[in-house]
Amino acid sequence: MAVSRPLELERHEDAGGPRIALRGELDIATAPRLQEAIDAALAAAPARLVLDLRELSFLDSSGLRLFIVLAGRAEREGFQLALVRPAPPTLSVFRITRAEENLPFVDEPPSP
Amino acid sequence: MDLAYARKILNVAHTAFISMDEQGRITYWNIRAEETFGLSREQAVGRTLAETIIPERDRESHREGLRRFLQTGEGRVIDTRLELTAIRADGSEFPVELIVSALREEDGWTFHGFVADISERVASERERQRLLDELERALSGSEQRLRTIVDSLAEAITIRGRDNRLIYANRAALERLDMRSVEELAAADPQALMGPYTTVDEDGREIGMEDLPSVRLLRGESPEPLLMRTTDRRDGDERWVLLKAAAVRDAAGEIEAAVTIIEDVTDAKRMQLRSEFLAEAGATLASSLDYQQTLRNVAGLAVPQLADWCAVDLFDADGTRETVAVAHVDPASVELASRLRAYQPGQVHPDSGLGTMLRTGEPALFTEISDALLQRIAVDEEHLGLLRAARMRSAIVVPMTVRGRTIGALTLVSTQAGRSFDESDLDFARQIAERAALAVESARLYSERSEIARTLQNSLLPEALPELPDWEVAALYRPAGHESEVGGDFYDFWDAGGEWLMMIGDVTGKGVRAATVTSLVRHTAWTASEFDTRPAHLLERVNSALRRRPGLSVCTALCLRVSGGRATVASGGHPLLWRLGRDGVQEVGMHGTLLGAFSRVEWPEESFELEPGETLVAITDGVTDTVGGEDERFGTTRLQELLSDVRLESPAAIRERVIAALEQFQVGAQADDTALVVMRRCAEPALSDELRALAGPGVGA
Repeated sequence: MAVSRPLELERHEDAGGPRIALRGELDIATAPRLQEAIDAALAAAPARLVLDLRELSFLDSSGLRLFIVLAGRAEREGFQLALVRPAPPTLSVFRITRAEENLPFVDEPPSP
Repeated sequence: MDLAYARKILNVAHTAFISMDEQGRITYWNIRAEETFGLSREQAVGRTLAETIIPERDRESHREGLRRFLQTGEGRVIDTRLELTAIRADGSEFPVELIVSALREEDGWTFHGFVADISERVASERERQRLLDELERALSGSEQRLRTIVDSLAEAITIRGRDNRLIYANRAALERLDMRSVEELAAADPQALMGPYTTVDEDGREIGMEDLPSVRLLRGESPEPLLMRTTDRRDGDERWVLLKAAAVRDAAGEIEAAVTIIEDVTDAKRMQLRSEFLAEAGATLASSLDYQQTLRNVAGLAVPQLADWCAVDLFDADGTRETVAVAHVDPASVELASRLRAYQPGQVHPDSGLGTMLRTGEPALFTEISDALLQRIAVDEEHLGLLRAARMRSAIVVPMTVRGRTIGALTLVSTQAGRSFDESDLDFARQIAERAALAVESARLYSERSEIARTLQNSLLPEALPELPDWEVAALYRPAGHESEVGGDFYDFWDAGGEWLMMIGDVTGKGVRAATVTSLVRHTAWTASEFDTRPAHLLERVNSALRRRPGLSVCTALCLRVSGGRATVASGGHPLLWRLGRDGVQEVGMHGTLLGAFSRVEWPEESFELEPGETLVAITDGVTDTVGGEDERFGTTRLQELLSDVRLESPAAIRERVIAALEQFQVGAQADDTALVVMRRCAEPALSDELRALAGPGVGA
């Protein structure tokens, strides 16, 4: 099985809602942990959720799938989702799949 | 025999021999008598016996006894073994054993006696008595109460004297040693007491008398408590005992005896061994899906801890028996045990262990195996010979059952040197068999599942690569992880009316769900290609099909259409196609939208003409995501360099180079499925290898 590489999650409480900063690799092994963190952050039904992907160094299809599902959920549940654009190697996954234009990317975390 | 000759013999006898007349005077005195009493024959003969060897205080009663015998012809001392005190010439006293005979001759009575010095024996008996007296004195006052307490202790307690003889044992110890009284015990040879038992330590090393803590203590050592296993060879009773010894010292501080407390820890020890065994067997059973090897390991574990030999048989659905494991405590006997198992396997006697188990479906316990039983179950003389040679004492056969179905049997056997099995052993054997049965069943299920997965996987890949006109093709599919899972990567080639279509893709997820999606994607693309072969059209149809599914079914795919040297490509969220030209390599085509995920979609196509000898390479992200040392990914740059190096080679060679590069780079297990398709435009209509060979050198390439 895949060797699990670390994914660090750091949650901040901005005025507009929670912000989770991702550092490391998001893959089939670490995606469940991010999902848990997201579920916890959304438990209080905030108006906005920000995922900061600037320090995300790798993303596989499980990670991509998680963002796609989350975007659908934002639409259904009526909260604003913002993904802070990652650096080029990681961004390429979003480019190759044209997810970049389908997911709510921003260049900087929105001001609190 | 004349008298002179008889005297010669008597003279050299090893016991003192003395003769006396009616007056009580010594008439004969042999060499041994000279040594025993320190008086020569010349000195002794003619003196009265009373003044020579009898202490003064006893002389009068000796004379009185002699007078009475001469008057009545009867005497208490005649022909009786007597213990008396004698004196030597130097006046010292010592104990003797005496037998006297009286002979009536012409000139009156003569008396003849054998006299043995029993100083040593008496000393050791006195010593014992002294110790007992001392023990009793120590227990004085409440002696009776203490004795009752010591006797009522479950622990056996013995006291061993300096001469290594046991001089005391409480009731529990007497029972253990099979002795009726302390006296009987004291008279027994200490070595002989161990005789009927096989005694070994925890590691199976034999324990001798010199290893016993009490004996070591008396030897001046400081022994640790000793845990040992004794097996009574007479009835196979096996016990674990813990021996602890303590010294009894005299007033001067010298060790004069060793007290041993013998604790029967059989139940605790067996429980410990069994739980250790179960833990170990559990780990062994879970460690591998090669159940035959696993069962062999378990059988190996059972010996010698639980039994002297262990066999595991498995039954097929049609009842065929297959012995998969035989372990024997004695390696030399493994062959004998195997031969026994294999002996006419079709003819299991209904009264044999296996036969009984099979007939009743219940475990079979043979506490003691009699020769009569062997004779009954033997198939023929040779079989009987083998059975006897196995020297079985006791046996257990338990069924291995899964969901009410008996899939095999576990057999435990102890030999003559071992112990008899009892009900608790039977229970334990059942527990082992239950676990073993489960392990076998999961291994079987796993291999069945793997077989299903393989079949399913194969159904998701083309049976064989097609013979494309003008193209040479090689492909690779390497699923990651367990073979029982279906991977998410796929590729396909098909002929759409003179044009060839190739699709390579990656369905998110694994297993049957991924297989269902893969199947949907392929069938949708096939059907769509009957109306319109444009790659963008095929991707669009696949996207729609996926979007119609409940939930989120996501897939990346790259679709390529070739017709002669002309190629058209479109990507649905899939890594782009590589074009390997004479001068270098580059990605061709444009990124299109991931399939099944989004409502805003676009699949731009790109068409181009390939020169003969140019190659196209399509991959899935398993290639670039391969993890190497320091968590580095293989990545696009490395792939590009690799493809550049191999760009002029054949598709098959390129495939092998990519595999080699990935295997060299990869650290740890393969994390993701990997698929690869390599297509080269031939310089001229492709010839098969056979044709090339037939055409000879210079033709073709």
